[in-house]
Amino acid sequence: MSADDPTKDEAGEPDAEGRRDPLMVAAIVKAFDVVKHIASVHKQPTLGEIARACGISFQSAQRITNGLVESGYLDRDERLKTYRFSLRTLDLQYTYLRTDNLLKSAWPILMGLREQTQMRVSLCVLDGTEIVFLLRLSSNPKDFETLLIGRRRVAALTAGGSAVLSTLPPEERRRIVEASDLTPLTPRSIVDPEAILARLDACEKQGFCIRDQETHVGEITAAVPLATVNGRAPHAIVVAGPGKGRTVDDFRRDIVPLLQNAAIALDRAHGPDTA
Amino acid sequence: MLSAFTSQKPVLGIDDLAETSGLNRSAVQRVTYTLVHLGYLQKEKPGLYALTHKVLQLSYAYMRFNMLMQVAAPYISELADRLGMRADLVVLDDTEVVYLIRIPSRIEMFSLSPMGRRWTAISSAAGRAMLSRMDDDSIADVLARADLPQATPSTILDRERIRAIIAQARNDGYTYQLGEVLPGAAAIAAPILGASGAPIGAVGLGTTVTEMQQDGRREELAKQVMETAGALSHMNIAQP
Repeated sequence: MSADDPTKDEAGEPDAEGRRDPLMVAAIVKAFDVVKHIASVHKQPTLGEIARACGISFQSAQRITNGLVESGYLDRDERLKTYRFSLRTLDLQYTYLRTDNLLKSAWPILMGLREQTQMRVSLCVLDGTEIVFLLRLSSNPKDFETLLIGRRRVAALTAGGSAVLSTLPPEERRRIVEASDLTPLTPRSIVDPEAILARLDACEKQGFCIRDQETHVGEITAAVPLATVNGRAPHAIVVAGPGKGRTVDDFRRDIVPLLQNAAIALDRAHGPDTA
Repeated sequence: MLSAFTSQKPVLGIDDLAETSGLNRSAVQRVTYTLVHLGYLQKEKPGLYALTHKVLQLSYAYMRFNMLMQVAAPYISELADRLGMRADLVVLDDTEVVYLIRIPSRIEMFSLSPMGRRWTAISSAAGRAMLSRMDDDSIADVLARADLPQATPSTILDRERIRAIIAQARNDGYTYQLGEVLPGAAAIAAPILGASGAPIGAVGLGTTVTEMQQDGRREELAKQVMETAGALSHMNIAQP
């Protein structure tokens, strides 16, 4: 943000979603609408596209992107007249990773789990209807997207997401599943809300969750939730590996106990008091 | 205001934020209230704030569009696996290097990934490797402006000596440092050139000073980083 007082600018105005909290700074809400839009699109947007998508004027979009460029988090492609996030955004990631105590405790435990399984290991957290991958240890660097932290998936369609949803009260689960974008991720994704809810019940009873090629073709994923602590969004640990030559039963027998041990170790290392 | 949060000061109060942003306390209070409401900040303790995982939205979008990372990831990983050693992909940001990919060695397994970590370019092997492919004026400019903290007793603090090391790197195609960043740790690196011929990154290997000084070992590792950096240079990746 620039040194101009942002609270003097259209303060108290309702934002795009009509929220009218008088304490909210409308200019900042709008700026983060723009941030969210640029982060979610598959192509670097132009000013016109940003303005349209965020429901703001061209001038507003210009003012906001100028502020973000000035702060160093956004780059303008002078040739294409498009915007994208800059290298400096990694500073935020770096700082965040070092602030979150759960992640610090989780890192060596996930490393051990990867050594044991030789598969991809991740830690994810619930955010709205999605999960966000906070730590990932890849086993196959050729699949670039699976290397990146910050990736989001619809919780109800993934093993990790199902594991975290299974820790929530039934009415909360239903609310999230019904609000979710249930576009199938693979031909085997199960997208019927009632079927998803029934599987979450099963997942709660058994304490883990296995999905066979429902998020990636050719891949089986297993996940266990971490103990939920008051005030902490639910997390899960996930192991994903090639389904070739392995069955869901193999995962249940070989991988789930390792995952459960890792979750216990992490809950113990992190402790409930730090939440 | 988010940029006030750094790894040195990850948890900040209203006064800290007022100082770094130049806003008055009541404005800062409203901005933090808004950022907490939007989910980008959380209260660590009463009156103290920290970043949340929401900031990963920005870095994820950056990484997803980064061609160099995408192309280099399997090469860096293969290099680390083959040599059983730490391998890095590093880029230059003005006077600093930034780690984009680090495949840790077994010994380093128990520390958090340094992705996004910064260091002064002129003290790092990767930074010197990239500088070696820039023109003399640019090198002089970075040498003049870059920080040069004495991280270890071995850190070279004479900028003229660093200039000579960079010149040597231009000649050799690689460069190395012995214990200048961390005591006992050594690194070796070679530059990756982009479509325009300018350096767009570096491939680095990390090991111990002892290993780097073993007979013939440095030459062998130099060959490895130059091969990998050379393969990536031939892909004509546009400057990110």
